[in-house]
Amino acid sequence: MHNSSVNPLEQEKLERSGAPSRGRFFFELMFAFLITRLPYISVPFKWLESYFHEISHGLASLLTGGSVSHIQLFPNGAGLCFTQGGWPIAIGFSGYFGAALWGYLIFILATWPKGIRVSFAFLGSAVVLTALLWGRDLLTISILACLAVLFLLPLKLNNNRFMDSGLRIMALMIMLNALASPTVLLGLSGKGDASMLASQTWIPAWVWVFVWLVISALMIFLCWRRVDQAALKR
Amino acid sequence: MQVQANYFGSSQAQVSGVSGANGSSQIKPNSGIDATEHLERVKQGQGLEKALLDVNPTSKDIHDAQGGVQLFEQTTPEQLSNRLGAKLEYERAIQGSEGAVAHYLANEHAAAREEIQQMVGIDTYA
Repeated sequence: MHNSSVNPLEQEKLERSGAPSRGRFFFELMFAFLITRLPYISVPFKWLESYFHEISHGLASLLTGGSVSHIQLFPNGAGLCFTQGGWPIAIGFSGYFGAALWGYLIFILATWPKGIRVSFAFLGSAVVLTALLWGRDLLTISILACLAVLFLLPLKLNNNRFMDSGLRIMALMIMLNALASPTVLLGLSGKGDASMLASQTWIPAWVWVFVWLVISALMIFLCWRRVDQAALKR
Repeated sequence: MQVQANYFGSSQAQVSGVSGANGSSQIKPNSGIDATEHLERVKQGQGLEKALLDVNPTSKDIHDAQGGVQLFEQTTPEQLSNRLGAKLEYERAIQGSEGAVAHYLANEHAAAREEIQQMVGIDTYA
């Protein structure tokens, strides 16, 4: 079902796009959702979201003139980022926002078939670099090592299509976790990024939680839109 | 039986430095055997197991008569229980105080520490 209005060059470009079909996207989304709900199996994927959350705090700190002391990751999916200086509002906001954004960026990388190995290698290297620069305790380094294996092990595979799908599912899991995580903050009073932002800005914590939820949902919608547009052009 | 066992333990200790049970004020070191024999005699003479319980006050009187003799502390189950209770109560009170002290130290200079943290310290983002 090729669209006749699209010129051959564009058609070739679209065919080279790794965007999945709509049905496949929904299947991958459901599969990602299922994994995030399964006990034990979901644990390393929670670490993934936690890692991108903390790394976003760290990057925001660096971008706003601060510095990162170290990060801490915990087996239950919790994490801490120790920073010095920078703009607290941007650093505080970037955690949940950054996790959702990273999810979307990884999804985009996963729709680039020729660069799928580069994407996995880039993400694995980022995790290793984080462990070297900001990992201080054994537990955090162990968790980061697991994440590095998660990204670097698929490079052993010869099937690029399987790797595309795997990376897309990981990206969707990061976004789904980024969507679910801020809701936990509603039950915490005086703790977490929302509370910190509320104390800094006088905007209630639930507003921040709502903004993060909207952003995470928007990222998943953007992924869907990309898939939908690719399907329309086929 | 438990009372009896306690009795022997305490009476032997009490009379270890006292000679005889006849009220004599002579102190003879290492005369614990005499006291034990006396107690055995009392026991046999009265023929009652219960009599053993009354020996302790007698021993006390003997020792009081000696004036300078140091009494060993008697340890009955009630006393032990009371002492244990008092110790636990004391420890509980100490723990409460330690909690209060820790709380005080944690909050002491909190504002100053916050100020220093803002200036040079490390912020934590969860």
